Amino acid sequence: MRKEMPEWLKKHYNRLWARYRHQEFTFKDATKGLGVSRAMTIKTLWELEQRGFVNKERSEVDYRARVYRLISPEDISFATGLYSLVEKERLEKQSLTEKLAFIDDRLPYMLTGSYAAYRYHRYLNPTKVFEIKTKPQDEGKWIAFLTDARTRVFIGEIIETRKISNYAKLLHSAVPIDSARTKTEEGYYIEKLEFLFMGLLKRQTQTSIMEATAIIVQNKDRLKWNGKDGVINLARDLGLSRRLGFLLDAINYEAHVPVVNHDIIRRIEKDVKGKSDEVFPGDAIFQSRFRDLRNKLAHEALLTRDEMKEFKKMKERFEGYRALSEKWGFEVVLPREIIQKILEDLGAKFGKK
Amino acid sequence: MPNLEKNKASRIEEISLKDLARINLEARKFKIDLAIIGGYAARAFTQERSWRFTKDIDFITTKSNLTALRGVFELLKYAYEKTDFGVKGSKRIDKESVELHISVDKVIDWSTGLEYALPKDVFSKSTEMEIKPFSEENKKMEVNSKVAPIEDALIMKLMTERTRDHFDAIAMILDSFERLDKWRFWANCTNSRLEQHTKKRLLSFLADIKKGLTRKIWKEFTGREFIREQEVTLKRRINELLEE
Repeated sequence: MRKEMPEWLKKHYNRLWARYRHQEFTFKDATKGLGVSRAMTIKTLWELEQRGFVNKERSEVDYRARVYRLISPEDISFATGLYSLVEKERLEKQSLTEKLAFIDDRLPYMLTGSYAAYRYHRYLNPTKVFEIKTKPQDEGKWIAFLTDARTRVFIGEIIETRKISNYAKLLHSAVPIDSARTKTEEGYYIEKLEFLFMGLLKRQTQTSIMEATAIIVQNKDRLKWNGKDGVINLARDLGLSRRLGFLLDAINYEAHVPVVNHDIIRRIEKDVKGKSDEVFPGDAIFQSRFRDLRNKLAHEALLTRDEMKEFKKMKERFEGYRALSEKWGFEVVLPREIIQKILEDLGAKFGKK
Repeated sequence: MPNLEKNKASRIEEISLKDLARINLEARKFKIDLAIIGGYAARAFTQERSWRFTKDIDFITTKSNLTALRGVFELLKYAYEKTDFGVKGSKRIDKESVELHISVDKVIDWSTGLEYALPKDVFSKSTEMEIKPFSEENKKMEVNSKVAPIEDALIMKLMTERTRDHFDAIAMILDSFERLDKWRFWANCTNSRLEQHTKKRLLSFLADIKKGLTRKIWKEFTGREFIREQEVTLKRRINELLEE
């Protein structure tokens, strides 16, 4: 991927930078600002985008509507400087993780989300989106550095239908990056197991619950449970003890053997007081399905006997953890087969693992 | 920049894809009825964006093919064992394992208890398709394998209560709808007494679009937004399928 700009492009970039700097602008604004034809504006924005020198965001409502924001000359210099350190032919073969390894400590970052989770659980393939936690002030540098023929970088939502090998999504970290990351043997940084695990519990979607479960099964002896940055403390600080305790109990229950030591669960139990209005998981899909069933069953007179039987069975599927739900003081609408399947797939049932 | 050696996950994928190619070759040589279903079939019928599945490979076969299939497993050093749903082949690679799940004569769904009886023409209609590698390092590998017809693969995805299967079904409808023989789809649903269930499922997909749930499902499994254009196409195609 070339980072250098031909003279004509430099001229157009400078003209746009002088006019808009960090401000957003539309295609129409760019045509007006450059004072060139529509075709030339398309070419200019395309060439800048290919180099990672402009950030483009599409509208959720109308895919064709786009807003642009230029990457600053300083951030461009940073990226071109790094690129100049590498031979061109090697650079073209670089995967995104290799680029992350190359950046090393030049910019603070950590890979998180499904890629980082996959490194720990090796269970559910990651999406094509690399979620990277970075500092907000470094966004421009990251966009300019990571963008290449195979990678596009996004700050907001990823609204893109073109075929791209990698999507990189920049996120902000709530904790100092240095304290929450670890270096992989390949040389790039990923979020530490305990912090990533908390992120999955916090997200509480169906896949994040699956990933959290797989992480426990695969890393139960590696997870740091105690201490300041241990799972128990992090969960308490983030108000996630109830979810954590329930999940560990559910894993042990489905495995028919203690996958996680009961002492750990007892320690978590001490951090949970009273009852909560929370419905777990907060997954919009589960909750909507469960609500629908409850509504349907509330109007018994409108249902046939078969429908009634079917809906009751479906509702029971969501309420498979009644006793644990009671123990942890919140409503759980998690079908049991979700955890059962992971344990089966990972060979953790009946203490095989 | 560091010259990185292949990571563990891509090594496992490389081995399982090579084994898959070999299984396909041996099945062809010994005329064994065997076809891929599940996540790998979804991979064959959809674009790269949507592959959040496990590394295990699901197949279908018939009882009469089991003896020959066992021989193929042994040849490739897979341990062979009977399970509740059929047979399983497993092989250790370092500390990880690759598992082959084979459903025999029918496919039973975990979440609903529903069964899909394999139609008589399922193997004759299965086609060799390219199984695209997931990891960047294996991109150059070219692996072909016999994949169950889209009609059967789709019915099996619609049969379950798992959101992940519903996502696969949506992706298949969006990416491979032109391959779908609607008549065969409904005939096979009827044969397994899944017609009503499938209709209800497709109607629930329409309701999900309306409620904005499809957007959420899409985002969860791809990390990307479900755009209006895709929404309109999906709605039109589901209605087309329901009208048949």
